[in-house]
Amino acid sequence: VTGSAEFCQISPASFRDPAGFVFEHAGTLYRQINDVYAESYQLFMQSGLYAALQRKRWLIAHEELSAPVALPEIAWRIIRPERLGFISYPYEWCFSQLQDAALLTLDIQLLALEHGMSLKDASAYNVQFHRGRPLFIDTLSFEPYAEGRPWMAYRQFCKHFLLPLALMAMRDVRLQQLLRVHIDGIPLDLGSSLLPLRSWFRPGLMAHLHLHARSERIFAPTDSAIPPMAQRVARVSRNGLLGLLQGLRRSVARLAWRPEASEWGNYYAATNYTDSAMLAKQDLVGRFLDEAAPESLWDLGANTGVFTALARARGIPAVAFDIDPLAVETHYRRQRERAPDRTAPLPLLLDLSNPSSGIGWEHSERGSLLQRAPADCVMALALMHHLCIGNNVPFARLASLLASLSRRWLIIEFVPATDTQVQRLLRGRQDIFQDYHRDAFEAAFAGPFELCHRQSIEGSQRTLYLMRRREQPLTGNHHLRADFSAI
Amino acid sequence: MNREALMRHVRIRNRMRADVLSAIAVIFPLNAQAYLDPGTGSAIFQGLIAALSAILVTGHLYWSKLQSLFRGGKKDAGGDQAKADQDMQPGSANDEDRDGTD
Repeated sequence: VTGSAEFCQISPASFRDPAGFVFEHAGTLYRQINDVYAESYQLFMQSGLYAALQRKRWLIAHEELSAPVALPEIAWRIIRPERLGFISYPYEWCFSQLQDAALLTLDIQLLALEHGMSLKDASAYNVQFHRGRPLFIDTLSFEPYAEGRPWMAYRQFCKHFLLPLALMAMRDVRLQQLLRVHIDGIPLDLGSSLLPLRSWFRPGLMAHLHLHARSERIFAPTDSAIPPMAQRVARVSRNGLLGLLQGLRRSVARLAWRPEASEWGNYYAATNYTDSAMLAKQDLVGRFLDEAAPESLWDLGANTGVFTALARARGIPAVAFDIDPLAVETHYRRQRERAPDRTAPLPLLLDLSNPSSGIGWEHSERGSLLQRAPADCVMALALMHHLCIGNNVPFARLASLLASLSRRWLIIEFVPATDTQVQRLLRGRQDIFQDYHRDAFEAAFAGPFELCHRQSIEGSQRTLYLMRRREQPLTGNHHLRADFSAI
Repeated sequence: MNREALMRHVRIRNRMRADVLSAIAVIFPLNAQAYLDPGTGSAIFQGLIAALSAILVTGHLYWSKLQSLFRGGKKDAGGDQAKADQDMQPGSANDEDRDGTD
């Protein structure tokens, strides 16, 4: 079958690279390699670098094909990369995820040099998480290494990795969100001014961030030509480059986020309880998952993944979102200790009241949360009171959001106003939530969803629901009572 | 010191001198003659940092040579060079962790 251009959808994330691009054809992702990259690609494959990267599972695997071709006039070859479950972005990762991605990038560059090649970019967006581990996904990022040439990705590495990590570890973990505004990494001068004084006393950070930022200012643009001496100084010997990379690696590896010293300090002591209600809830969620048997799961408000683990035990690949950086960090570190497998959950940072938007060119270089939906099943446990009371979101709005995130199933927990957690949220607020009760909740959700099971959780006041998304959402409230009273 | 070791010594010394000169060259006159976009400025800065780390590596070589002299080691300079080269091999620090995925 020869694919023709009309049926190929070129990915909005890879259009900049002249070497090639990703496109979708009949539900499968391919990568077209253009004529200009043919030589580099052949060297990449023949130097043994591809095989070495595969042995270490550092690079996405691919197979070579002759069709379909998206842009035949510049096409040289088509490859089909291994399919990834979910595309995530650095502003959704926890500290250790960003750090692991940084170390992977440096290790790949060091390995590439052994094979006479070099990474031409060091973008954090070239790394994804697959089977619980970071994986480099840009097969076309390698170019032949020429001794003496500086590593052109050095500055990008500092902006995408070292600077955000330093800011997270030494100033505030939330500064990572600067990556949402600055799609090509945090500007060095901005980051340098935000870092604490003590960062000057770490030689790596002083050089790669502070002095690096100042060098940009010193060499600010003017009209005069490049002095030949500057060109000579920009020569980087192989040993110099290895030293630089090892230095960067040490700087990255030495950074550590110590949440116990931060405001998130006592989080776990306060929420990490185990009692019979918890066990009853686990049992119930497990039964609902068994009945739905979804192909994929998004666990919203997953915390450290206690309930996400029920999906893993059933072979369901899951993405576990939480708003708390410490919960995501803990979840990631725990699952990293386990052997990698297909169902390893992907913990990610997400504020559902302001989820990741589409950023970059035409808002589509990096997809929004909704653009990356739906999951086969969405799970929202102990979440709704945070959104409906903490964020004033009406039930109907919550229902419509969840219906756009879920392809088929919804497992949702109703937390009544008498619950101690809700009482805590209501403390000091006027009671403007007269509609916050189970009947109103069921009525609102009966629009987009069909109720399959309703079970109260033993030993608590909470109720767990299994719902199935309707093909055509109901409109108007008059159907709803009848619909739910039938259960 | 055999001839080969002597030649290596001279090469390293010359390289060090070149690096130091480059470093001085970039620090002083370029303050006045600024000209570039940030990317190229970064490349020049990288040249400087890389030169410095090459100097550190070389210094480390000399240091281990000195140590082996005091230890009365019988290792020749080639042995030290080989060891230092090995130290420079990439990906050695935490490879074990990552290889766990194999």
